[in-house]
Amino acid sequence: MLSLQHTRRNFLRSSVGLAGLTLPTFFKAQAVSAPKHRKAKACIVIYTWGGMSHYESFDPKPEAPMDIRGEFKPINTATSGIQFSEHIPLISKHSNKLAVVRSVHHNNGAHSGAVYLNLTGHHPEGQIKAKGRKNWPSITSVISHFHRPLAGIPGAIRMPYSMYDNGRQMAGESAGWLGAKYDPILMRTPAGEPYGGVNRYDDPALNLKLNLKKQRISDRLTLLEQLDQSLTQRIGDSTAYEKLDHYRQMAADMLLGSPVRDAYDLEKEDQRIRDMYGDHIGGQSLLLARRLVEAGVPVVQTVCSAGDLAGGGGDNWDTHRNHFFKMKNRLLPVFDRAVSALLTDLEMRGMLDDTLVVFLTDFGRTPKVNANGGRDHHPGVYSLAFAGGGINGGQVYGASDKNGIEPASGACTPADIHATVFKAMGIDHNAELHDQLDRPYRICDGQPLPIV
Amino acid sequence: MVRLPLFLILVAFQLLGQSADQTAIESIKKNGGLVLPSPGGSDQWEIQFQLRGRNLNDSGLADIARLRNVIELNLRDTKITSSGLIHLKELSQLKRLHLERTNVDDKGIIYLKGLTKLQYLNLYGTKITDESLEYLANLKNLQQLYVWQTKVTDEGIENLKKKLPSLTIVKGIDLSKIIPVKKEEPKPENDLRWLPEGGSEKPPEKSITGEFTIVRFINKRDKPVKLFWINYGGQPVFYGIIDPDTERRQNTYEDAVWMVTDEKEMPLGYFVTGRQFARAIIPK
Repeated sequence: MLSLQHTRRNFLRSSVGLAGLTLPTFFKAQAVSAPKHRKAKACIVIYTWGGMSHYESFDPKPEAPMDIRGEFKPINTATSGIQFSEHIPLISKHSNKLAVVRSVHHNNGAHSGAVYLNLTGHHPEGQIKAKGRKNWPSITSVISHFHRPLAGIPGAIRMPYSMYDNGRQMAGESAGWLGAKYDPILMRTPAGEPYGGVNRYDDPALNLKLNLKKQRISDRLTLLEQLDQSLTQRIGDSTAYEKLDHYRQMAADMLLGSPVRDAYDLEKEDQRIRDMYGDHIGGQSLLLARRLVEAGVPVVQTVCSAGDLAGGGGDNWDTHRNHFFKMKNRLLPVFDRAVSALLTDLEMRGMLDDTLVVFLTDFGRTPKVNANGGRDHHPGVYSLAFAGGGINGGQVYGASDKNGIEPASGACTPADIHATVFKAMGIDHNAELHDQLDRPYRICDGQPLPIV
Repeated sequence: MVRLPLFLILVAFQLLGQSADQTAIESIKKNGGLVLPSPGGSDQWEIQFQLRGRNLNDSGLADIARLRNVIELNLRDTKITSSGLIHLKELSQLKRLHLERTNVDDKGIIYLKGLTKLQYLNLYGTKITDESLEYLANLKNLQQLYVWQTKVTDEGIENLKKKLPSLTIVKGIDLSKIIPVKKEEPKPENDLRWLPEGGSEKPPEKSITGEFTIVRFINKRDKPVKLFWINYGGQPVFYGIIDPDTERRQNTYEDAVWMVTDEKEMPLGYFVTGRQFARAIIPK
C-alpha cells in the first residue's frame, strides 16, 4: 500500500499539522459542519448469500427470449411503471418505499471475491483470508466506527451465520485493518427454523442462554476470568488477547442485562408480529434486527439464507441447479415475507426514515438457463435495493439491457452502492480512516447515487 | 491563515461551556438523557431518553424546557404522563417528537397545539383517541404522524387529512389479521437402512453435502438413545436424546451420516440419509 500519495500525505501531516488537524482535514471538518440532510441513525443490511437472480426478483425480462426470461412472470407493484417478479408479491406492495438499482456490475465471478467486494466496497488484492487483518473493513464495521453506540451496546451485529463456500469461510464480514474492536459481533438467531435445517458449520456465535440465572452467569464470568489469566500466560500475542477481551466483555454485558439482552429475547415479542415475519430463520433474523436497532445497535447485518453453498445443493441463492423450483418454493417465499414484514414493522413504528435498509448480494445470475435447470454466476449486471433512511422510494435507478446481460444506463459499482449508504448515514464517503499502523485509507472509491 | 479560525472555534467552545444551556444539559444527562448537537445548525439539540433514560418522569421534563432550542426529542418508553407534557409547550423549535409507548393521552396532546414547526410526531402505543387529532389540526408543517395501536379511528384520520392534506398518517396493520404460514409436513417416503455397529456393512466415514431433506428418528428400544451427526470432518456432533417409543423430527441433507448410541455414548448403529423424506427406525 506504500505509494507516493501516502508519502506525500504523511509529509503534510508532519510538517503542516497544527494541533492534530492537517490542512485537508481542517477544511473537511468545516465542510462536514455545514447544514446537510437528516441522516439515518441505524442501518440493516440484508445479504442474499450466494448471488440472487435479478431476473427472478427486481428485474424481470418478459420481452427476452424464452431461454433467458425463465419461468416466472412479472407483476405490477404499488408504483406504476415498476414491475417485479411474480414470486415477491408482498414486497411488490412496498415498492413505494424501495429504490431499486438495476445497473450494478463488477467483474468478479467467484463467491469469495464477490462477497468481499460487495461487503467492503473494494476489490480483493491477492489471497484474502476470512479473518485477515489486511482486509478492507466490512461496511458494517465502517458504519459502527462513525456511529458509536452507548456503553455496553455492540457497534455492529451480524447473524445468523457466517458465510461459507464449501467449507471455506468468506472474507469481508469482519473489520479487517480497522481492528478487532470493530468486528461485528456474530449472533445466532434464537428462533425460527433454518430453511435447510442444520447449520453445516459451527461458528463461535454468541448463543445466549436466556434462562440462565444471574448467579450462574457470574460463576461463568469467574470461569472466564480464570480462562483469561491462563490465556495471557500462554499467549503473549496482544491482538489475540484484545480480541478475546472484546468478545468476552460483550458477552458479559449482554448476559447481565443491557437493552440488547432484552432485544435478543424474541419470546418477549408479540406472537402475531413473530408470525408476520414467518417462522423461519430469515424472518426471525430480520425481526431480531429490528429489535436490536430499537435497542440502540447502529448496524445489523443478516444473511438471508442458511448453510454453505455445496455447489448449488444447499439452501441459499447460489442456484446452479433446479433454480426455478428453489426460488419459488424455498428462497423467495422466505425473503418476500420477511422483508415485507420488516418494512411494514419499521414503518408503523415510525422507524423507517431513521433506519436505512440495504439489500446486498454477490452478483446476478446468467441469462441462459443451464442444463441442470440452474442459472450460474453473472457479475455483469445485477439488482440491489434500498429502503428507508431518507432514500426516495418508488424509483428505479439505472437499467439493464433488454436481456439482462449488462447495464444499459446508470452503470454503477459496489463502491457506488457503499458511497450511497455512507451518504444516507451522514458519513462523508471521502473520509479517511487509519489502520493499526496509522496509515490513512480513503474509505470509499465510489460516488453516491442520486437516490438519497 | 489556519490559526485564527481554530482559535475562534476554541473560544466559542469555552463560551458555550459557561452558558445556561450547559446546566440544563447536565441535569438532562443526570436523568439518563443523551444530548447531541443537531446536524442542522449551531446551538440546536437532539435529546434522547429512550435507551438509558427510561426512568424519566414528568419532573425531568422541566430541564428540557430550559433548553429552548431543541429540534428533536425522543421520549419513547419513558414514564412520562400527559401532565408532564406541559413543559414541552416552550419548545417552539421542535421538529421531531417521539412519545410512542408512553402513557400519554388526549390531555397531554393539548400542550402540543402551539408546536407549529413539528414535522414528525410518533404517538403509537399511547392512549390517545380521535380527540388528539383535533388538537393537531393547526400543525401546518406536520408531515408524518404515527398512531398504530391507539384508539384513533379511520374516521378521525379522514377528518385530520381534510385539514392537513399533505400529512401522512400511519395507522399500521391490524395484527389480528396476520395469518401464520402453515407448514405442510411431507409424509416419509421410505425407511432408512439400519447399519448396526460392528456389522458387515460399514457407514461412510463422514457426511457429504447434498439436497435438503427430513428424517424422522423413531426409538423402538426400551431405553433412551443419543443421536449424533457425523460432520464433514468425520467428527460426531451431538443433536439430542430420543426417549423410548418417541420420535424426533430432524432436518438434514442427503448423504448425511447419523450415529445412534446408548446413554453412555457407545455406538449402536448408523443411518445414511437419501434424498427422500424418510423414517429411521432404531430397532429393539
